[in-house]
Amino acid sequence: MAQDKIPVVLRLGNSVLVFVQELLNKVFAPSMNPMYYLGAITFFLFWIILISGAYLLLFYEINPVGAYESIEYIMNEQKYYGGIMRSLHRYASDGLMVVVVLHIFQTVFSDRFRNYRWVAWVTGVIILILIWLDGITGYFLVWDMKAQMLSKSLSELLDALPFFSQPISRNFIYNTSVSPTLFFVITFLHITIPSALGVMAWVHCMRISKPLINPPRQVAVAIVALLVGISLVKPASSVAPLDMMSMPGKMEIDWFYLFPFPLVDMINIPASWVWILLTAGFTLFVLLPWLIKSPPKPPASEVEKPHIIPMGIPQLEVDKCTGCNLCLESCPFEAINVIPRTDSSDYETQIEIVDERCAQSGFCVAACPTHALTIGDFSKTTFGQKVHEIFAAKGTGEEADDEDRPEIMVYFCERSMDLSAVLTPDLSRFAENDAVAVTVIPCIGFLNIAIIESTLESGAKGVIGVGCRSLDCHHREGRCRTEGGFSTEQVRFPVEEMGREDVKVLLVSRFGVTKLLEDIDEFIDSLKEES
Amino acid sequence: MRKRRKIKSLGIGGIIVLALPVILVLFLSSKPFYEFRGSEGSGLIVAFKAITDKSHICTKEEVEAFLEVQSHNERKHLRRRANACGSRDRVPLGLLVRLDGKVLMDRVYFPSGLRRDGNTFVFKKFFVSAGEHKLEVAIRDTKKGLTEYDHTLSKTVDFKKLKFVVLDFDPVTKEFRL
Repeated sequence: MAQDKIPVVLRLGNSVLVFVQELLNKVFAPSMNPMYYLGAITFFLFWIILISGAYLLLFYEINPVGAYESIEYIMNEQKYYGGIMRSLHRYASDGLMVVVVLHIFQTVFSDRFRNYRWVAWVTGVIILILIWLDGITGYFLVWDMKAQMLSKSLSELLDALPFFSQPISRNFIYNTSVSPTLFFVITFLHITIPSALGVMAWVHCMRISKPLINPPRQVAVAIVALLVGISLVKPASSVAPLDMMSMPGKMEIDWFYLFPFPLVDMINIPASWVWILLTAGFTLFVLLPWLIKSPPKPPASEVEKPHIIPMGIPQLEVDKCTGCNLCLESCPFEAINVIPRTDSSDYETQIEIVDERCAQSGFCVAACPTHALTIGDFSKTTFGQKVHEIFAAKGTGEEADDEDRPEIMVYFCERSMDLSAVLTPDLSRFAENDAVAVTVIPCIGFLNIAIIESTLESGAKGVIGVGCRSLDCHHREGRCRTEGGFSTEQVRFPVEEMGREDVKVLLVSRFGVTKLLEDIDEFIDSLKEES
Repeated sequence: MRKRRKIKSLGIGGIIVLALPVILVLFLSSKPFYEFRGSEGSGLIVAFKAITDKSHICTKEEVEAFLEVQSHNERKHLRRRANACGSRDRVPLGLLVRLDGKVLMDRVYFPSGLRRDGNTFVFKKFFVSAGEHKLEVAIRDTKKGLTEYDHTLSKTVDFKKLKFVVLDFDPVTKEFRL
């Protein structure tokens, strides 16, 4: 199962993450759980910072002489507008760091950063660095003693690099050493880095169809209200005006952005070593998707167990493709392109699968109305036969007698939970109830009406689909497919809307094995009552 | 008539949970305080630009011989001038700093540039205890032995708490400034 393919370190972190998410699902409705919207909250905080920053820029003086005074004017003379705006700007920036770090942890421990998701990971690392850079340039602009500490520490670090013919630190010895041009350059950087962030954010989401960029309204309103609240309770403040001839001494630190400088001061290692460690750390961080390896998966054709539908990159039978694009609309990761026809068919276009972006969810296979896509030897054409084989076999692979045939088929998403403890050793039946057969599928979104009908026609008395709740789905949109969450009528797989008493969809939490078994028993009892 | 959709609220629990990271932001945006190194004392910054002598300065005869050779160059625009005689590279700068007799630094700084023909830049920061100290500085900017110096300074300086004292050296007048 998928869990076996995830390295141990990720599995442990994943357990903690899922536990926290489950805890928060008890406090929030799952559709409002902020843990599922960390990326969207990042975007939202970015807008708050942008708007408050634009306001501050109206009153800010871009020169070393007037910078500090202009900030004090904004804080003191405009107390209820400027003060709130400046504090919002500060606290939203700090909040941004918190949310981004949480988003990184969540991405890593839900194993959503490797393979086809590497572009999002690399751009995410760049976004994190740009956010940090923008934060520290912001602290320069206040031109107080924090800016002094920042300028001296940063320039001493830069002096260790062999790029400069003279020490940059010499520009920060006297108050008059700092050129207004340098000040202007830093202001320019502070304003243009957000543009680069916008571009990076676009690339970050480029390979995701319909990315979530807006948090739920209630969450957004609560965040704004809380930020405004703390802005009123404790407005952001500057420390003493900058004096290059003074030492920083004991000062308040914004630990979200300025933490490297006390750290370097504490460790007291040569600046060259700081750069070596930074470079090594950054390189490891960026290369993380390639450093954490999974055990190799057998190709789809080599999987012997008929009840495990393997993941694999779908193969196209061109002559069956009509260019209807339903597979393209169903793909959550923009892994399907439309290209001109490569055969002599009358249809104008066909599709091609972009292998390196393919999440192997099987959604396109399920969506294709002409059965043009297959995974291994599984396709909608052959699936009916496969279902019959699964239903006819015992766990040992031998043909089952009538009394051995299972009555219920559970199609179980391999990432939803770990059922190995409650299944037979070959994972084909439930150990406590061998009337319930199990088929492992890549995602609940793979399940559609055709598969269910094939199963029922093969003799099953009931069919259950087990998958993850919507925002837990590893493939992002598995739940949507069972709900028919698409605008195009033809890709709706409204399994629940079939209205059949012998078909049920169960969306589970990772720790809900006991509840799942109870729900299955309840379903079997209801079928018995019906009959 | 359209049915109004009931808007779900976060609930008190949700607001409390959302408030937790906000409180974290409120706290960590300014606390805990950090005391940087040297907070109990003072600081000395040695920072200046120096122009050292060239490693080989031509004698009068060498200059004349050099100009004689240049005059035979048919490409007139490529004929080099007298000040191009000798080497381009400059001697390294020797710097010795002592505080109350204790050596703070004794090192050589090389001129900038790929051919070591540029200015020599010095920047070094020290943390010292506050109060009066005897500061001795010696600079070597010509071709001399390692223990010989061209410019010296010996002065008692009052280091004020949490303030830097900057030692500068004028490359033109060859004078120290504190």
